[in-house]
This record gives sequence, structure tokens and C-alpha cells, in this order.
Amino acid sequence: MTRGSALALAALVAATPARADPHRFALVVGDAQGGEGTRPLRYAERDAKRIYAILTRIGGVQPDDARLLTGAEAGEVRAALAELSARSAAARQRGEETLLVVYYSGHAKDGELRLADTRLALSELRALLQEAPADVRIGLVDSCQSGAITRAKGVRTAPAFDVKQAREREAGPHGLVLIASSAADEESQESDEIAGSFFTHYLASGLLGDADASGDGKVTLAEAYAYAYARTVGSTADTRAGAQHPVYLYDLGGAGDVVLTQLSQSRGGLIFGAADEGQYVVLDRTRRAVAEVAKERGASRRLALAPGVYLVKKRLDDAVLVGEVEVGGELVEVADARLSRRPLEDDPQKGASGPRWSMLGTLGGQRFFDAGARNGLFPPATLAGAELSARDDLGHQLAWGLDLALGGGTATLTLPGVSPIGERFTELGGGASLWRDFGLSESWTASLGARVAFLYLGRNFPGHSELPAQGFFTLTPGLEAMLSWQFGRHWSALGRGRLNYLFYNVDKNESLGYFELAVGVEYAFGL
Amino acid sequence: MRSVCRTCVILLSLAAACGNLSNDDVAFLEALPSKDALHVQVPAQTAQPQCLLGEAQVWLSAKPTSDNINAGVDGILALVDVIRGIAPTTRQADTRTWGPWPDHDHPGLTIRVTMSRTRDASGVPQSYSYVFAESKGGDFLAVLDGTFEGAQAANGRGTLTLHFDNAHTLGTAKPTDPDAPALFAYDLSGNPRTLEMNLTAQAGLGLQQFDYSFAGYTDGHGLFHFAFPDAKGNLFTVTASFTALGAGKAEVGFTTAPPFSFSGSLSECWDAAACLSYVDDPYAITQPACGVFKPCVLGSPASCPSFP
Repeated sequence: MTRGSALALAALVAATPARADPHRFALVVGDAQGGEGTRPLRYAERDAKRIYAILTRIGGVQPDDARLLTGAEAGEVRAALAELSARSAAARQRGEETLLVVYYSGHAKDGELRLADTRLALSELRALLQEAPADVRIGLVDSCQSGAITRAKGVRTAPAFDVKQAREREAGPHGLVLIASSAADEESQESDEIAGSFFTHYLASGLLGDADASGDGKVTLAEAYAYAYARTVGSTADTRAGAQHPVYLYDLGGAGDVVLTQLSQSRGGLIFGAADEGQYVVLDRTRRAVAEVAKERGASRRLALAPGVYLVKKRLDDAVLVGEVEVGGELVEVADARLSRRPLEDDPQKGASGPRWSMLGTLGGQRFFDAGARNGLFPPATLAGAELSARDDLGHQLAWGLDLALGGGTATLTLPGVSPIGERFTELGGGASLWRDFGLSESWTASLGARVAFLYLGRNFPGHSELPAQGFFTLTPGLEAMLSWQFGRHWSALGRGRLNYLFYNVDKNESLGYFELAVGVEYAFGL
Repeated sequence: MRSVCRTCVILLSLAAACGNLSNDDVAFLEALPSKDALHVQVPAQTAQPQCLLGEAQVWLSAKPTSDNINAGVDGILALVDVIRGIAPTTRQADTRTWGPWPDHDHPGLTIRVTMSRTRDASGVPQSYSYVFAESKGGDFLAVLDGTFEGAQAANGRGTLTLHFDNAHTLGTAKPTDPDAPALFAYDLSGNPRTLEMNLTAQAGLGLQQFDYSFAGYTDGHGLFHFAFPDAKGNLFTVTASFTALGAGKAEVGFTTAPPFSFSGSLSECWDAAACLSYVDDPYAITQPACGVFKPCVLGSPASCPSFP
């Protein structure tokens, strides 16, 4: 399949009259674990979620008619497909035209999709689609196998999605389109730069609007395929695994064009002005690529984005243009003149634009696990802290931060045979953290990381002039986990837990552990 | 691999860990007597009205004497307090060592303090002992040692021995210091708390007597025993009791100044204003108006305060 043939297919389909909008059903499956002999994929589930979000937002699929399965077994996929087929059959009995989309992102090997520890043969999936009681059945298979920076999907020696054979066996009265992300002897690839597989990334970009070659506000199946094909081949030409060529089986005898997304279903979005040209990348709040726009001068281009804050970047030969936009219920125009010009070194990757700084204020406390340690030495303390953190400075969704916290309180020291002694203590801690953010949704982010900190604890004994003040300083390595919720453009609320190790060596050598819990509010600069 | 990582973490933390945060240090220091706890507490008598039978000299001299005692205690415990401001040099489960460090008041000398304790099976401290020693470069000589029974000096029994003899050997003693050890004992475990100083040699610490004892009760009354000379050279031995308000009674033994060296005793009571309310002085030592060596009884014994 060449880019020219794909465009010809697009033109052919575009020439046919549009069909009435059918009742749409979608089964979207993502599975990062391929079982024995495979390595987990980084972005398979994210790919599935992106496609699911697009189909249910601008693809005409009602949430009740869509199923998103991640980490599911083959049986669950069969059951979900059977359920949607039944719903489609019922709709057809009511006289409705129906369309069924099945999308899969994950491992494939030896002609089988890997679903957790179970398998689903490609031939079985094909047969299920052929027999599905829907007027139009579309299968999108982005099967993969992990790699290093550019990860391989599928296995070079495994059979490709044989659209020719499927076409020969296809005997049903309904149209069927099968699209695979790579040819039979190719690897499909993931990319850390775009945080997804190449094929799905460009498929998604196309469905959001960049594939709308006709400019009619609708992205058809042929447009989406042609766009995804061209961009996938172009982007993978120089990768270590080599160029990746999507393939298809297209058999919609008698059928008209199939519209996959209608940009008008999203009131908000971006409009790239007619005067500008070039390649733009749109990043979400977590600095992951949401879509790309390859634009020619002379026509505007619309991207139907969900409400949110986005970063638009355009890479030039000697600089990068960057601008932040907030998408709500209206279209926001993007023009080069409104973008800020930055040095190229501020854009080492597609998904990064230099550090994003934020300041965090926290209030929490610490508690040692050992009761003996809590007795006077390290009593539970209330801590107020501040933290400066940088995201997108290291790549790979890694962030780092420097923190400082001050606290203290009063406690009672109990010694054998001695009257309880009141003490007043002060605790000062600070450290450096490195963690990875995991975007759970548009507004929720989970983070896991490690931290090396210093801890100083000083105490004195009011009313006991015979006792001198004491202090202790040490380093404490630890782990930390955070959950944050963005509630404003710049503001997030978060809860954080830390698990720390401390080596105490004054009275005796002792390994101690303690945990810290805190809540805080974070302000992100520059958004 | 896991053990290697764990070792690295411990070594890193060990290298960075420092300080004196120690509950055991607190336990050791709590076993050392403090100045306030060992002070003799005698009510002060500030205003002196006109007295019908005369002033109670015994009582009026009690406060200055107690101040002298307290000053002596402070001098001893000043040495003890040195280690409160510095962290131990070495720590073991039941031993602490401070120093040696240079004695800045006496160049050429170094100071070392060792302290040890015993504990029962449950870990409760039973006794402490400590030695403050100095050295000119050879062996360390004890200048102060102490023992303590209990876990907390504020409510236990202990002794302090000031080794004036060693201080003279080291060259740190003052000319007025005794040349033999002085023993100071205290018992703060009950009611009354008792303090006793025993100078085993000649005069020292500004006192003319070899021993002094004091017992103070929580309700403010107390008793003491000591001796003092008057301006004529007569030596008086006093055993006195006093109320919280300052009234009291005393048995006074005396030995007249040479060449007569005549011994005897008298009794007297005084009120809260330090005025004598009763005197039974068989030889009129304190009341010359009664005549020389004539029995002298003034006032009423009923005016004497009673004590439990």
C-alpha cells in the first residue's frame, strides 16, 4: 500500500454519496501485558483510552453503546462483542442502520492477539466481525510488541493481518473494513516522544480533525486511514525498526462513505489559521501529545478537542513556537504570530518544552513506626512545607523537586524510674525528589517516586534547666506517592504519602522507619 | 544485591548522622544532683523589731550560714554542671565518658568524667556512680566522685566526695580549702529531705564546724544542726527546729573561749519576728543582765512552737 493508493482510496470513497448517520457501537480494547515472551507496552492502554474518548465525544457513539476494556481476557472481549452485536441486531430490527467499530491496541504474536494470559486468534476476530449483525463493521488492530525508545509491536515473523484472505472468505451481506497498523513483515512501533503508538497517534490526530482533507468538518474512514498511513510511514521511516506501513481490507460494497467523526459535535477546539503552514503539535496538561496538525497554507484546519488547557508547539528550523491555549465551549484560533518563540534547546522532544515549574505548599505530619523512637526522640510532629518542582525537565514523565518543611510540637519523655519530662521539639526537613507522573484523567494525576532528604530534630526541656538541648541530623532516603487533582488552570490539590528510612546511631545503632502524610495546594507557573 | 543496597543506605546514613539526641543521656543527667535540689532552705529574716527579751541570734545566724552552705554546694556542683553542656565522648549501654578535655582554668591539666550505672532486670536504673578526675599527664586523680541510689536525683539518695587532698596534689586547691576529703550526703527520697556536709579535716568553706546537717519538710518547717563562734570566741553548737513562718526553738551547747573552756547548754525559743520569747540560760551566757553565772529564765516555755 502506498501513500498514493491510500489517497486514491480516500478520493474514491469521498466521491460516493454520504450515508445516513447509523447507530454506532464501539468496542475498544487496550492491553499492555502480552503474557509470556513479551514485554509490557507503555502506551497500549492510553491509546485505547484516546480512541474511546474520541469515538464517544465526536464519533457519534453514545456511552451506553461503547465498551472500553483494558487488561481484559479474551473471554471478556468475546462477551463484550457479543453484547454489542446483540444490541446492534436489536437496532437493525428497529430499522436503524448500524455501525460497529472494534479497536485493539496491544501485543500480537503468531496470529493471535494477546489479552492478559489468554489469546484471541486474529482469524476469530475477523470471523466475529464478519458475522456481526451490523451494516458496517470496522476493525482497527494496532498490535504491538515493546521496544526501547521506539518500541516494536507484534513480531516480524508472525503473520500480518491478511486482508486479502479475509476478503476472499468474506461472504456476508454487510460491509467490512479491516485496518492493521503494519504490514505482515513489519513491526508496529511505540514512541516515548508522542507517548503512544505511531499508528494510533496519527489515527487519533486525524479523527480529531487533521485528516479532514475535504474540509467539510467530517472525518471519514478513508480520510482517517489515508492520513494515518501517510503520517505513520513518514514518522517511522528513520526509526531503528524501520518504516511501518499500515494495511487495510476495504469491502463496503454498495455502501457510501463512512463518517467516523464529526468535528461539529465538539463545540470547542482549535482553529489553525489559513495564513500559517507547518507542523504543529498539541500537548495536554501532562505534556503528552494529543494531536498533530500538518497544515498547508491557504485553508484553515480545525481540531475538535475536549475542554482543557493545551500547549501548541510548532517546530521551526532554528526555534520552536510555543503557546498555551484554553479550550472551552468555543473555537480558539491558533496563529503563529501569537506563539512565543523559544530556542530549540527548550524543545528536546515533541512532548517537552523545558521545565514546568510549580510551587507547592503542604501541611501534614510524620510518625515513626517504632514506639520507642516516638518516646521523646522522634515524637509525631506537625509539619508545614514548601516544595519547588520541575516537570518535563527530564523526559519520560519524570519530575524532580526540592522541598523544605518545618514543624514541631510538645511531647513527654518517659524514662524508667524517672518522672515524665516534658519536651518541646523542632523538626526541619528537606530533600530532593524524583518521581514519575501517571495521568489518570484530565484532572487527576498519580505520582510515584523516590526522595533523599535531610532531617534535623532538636529538643529542649522547659522547666528542666539541668538538661541541655539536644539535636540530631541525618539523611533519610524514602519513597513517595502522590495523588493530585487539578481544580483550576494553575491550581491543584494533592495528597501525598512518604515512607522513609532513618538510621539512628546515638544511644545505639538502629534502623527506623517513619511515614509522612500531607495535603497541599500546588501552583503551576507559566500555564 | 538487596543486602548490598541496604548496606550502602546504612553507610550513607551513618556517615551523615550526627548529634546528641539521646534519651539515655537524659537518664544519666537526671541522676546528677542539681543545685536547687541540694540547697538548704531557711526562711529569711529581713526586718528586726525591738525585742523585749532580745534578738534570737541563733536564728538570725541561720540564714547566713545556710547561704554559706549553699554557696559551698554550688561550688561543688559547678564542676558537675560542666558535663551538662557537652555531649558524652563515648556512649555504652551503661557507661558515659566525657573528655578528656583541657582544663582552661588550670593549664596543663585535662579533665575526664566517667559515669556508670546498674539496672535491674526490667531496665530501671538502680544506682549511678561518677568520677570527675584530672590529670597532669599521668594518672587521673579523682577531684570529685559521687554515688546515687535511684533513677532520678530529684528523689533519690546520694553522696558527693570532694577530694581536697587530690586537688592539693594537682595544684588546683585554694589555700583556704581543707586538705582532706569532704563528704556531702543527701536524701531527697522522702519527707524530710536531708542534707549533710561532713568536713573531715580542719576549717574550710568558711565554716568553723566539721559538720552541718539540715532536714527540710514539704510544709516548710525544718531543723538543722551546726556550730558557730560568737564575737567573744565562744563556740556554740546549735540544734534548732523552725516553723515555716520562722518561729522556732533551739538547744545550744557552748564551750567558752579559753582560758576557761567551760562547757554548758541553754534553751531558747523565738517568735516569727526573731524575738526571743523564752530563754533558759543556766549560766546567763546569752543574758548578762541576769548576772554572771546565775540561772536565767525569761519568758514562758509555753511560747515555744511545737513540732511533729
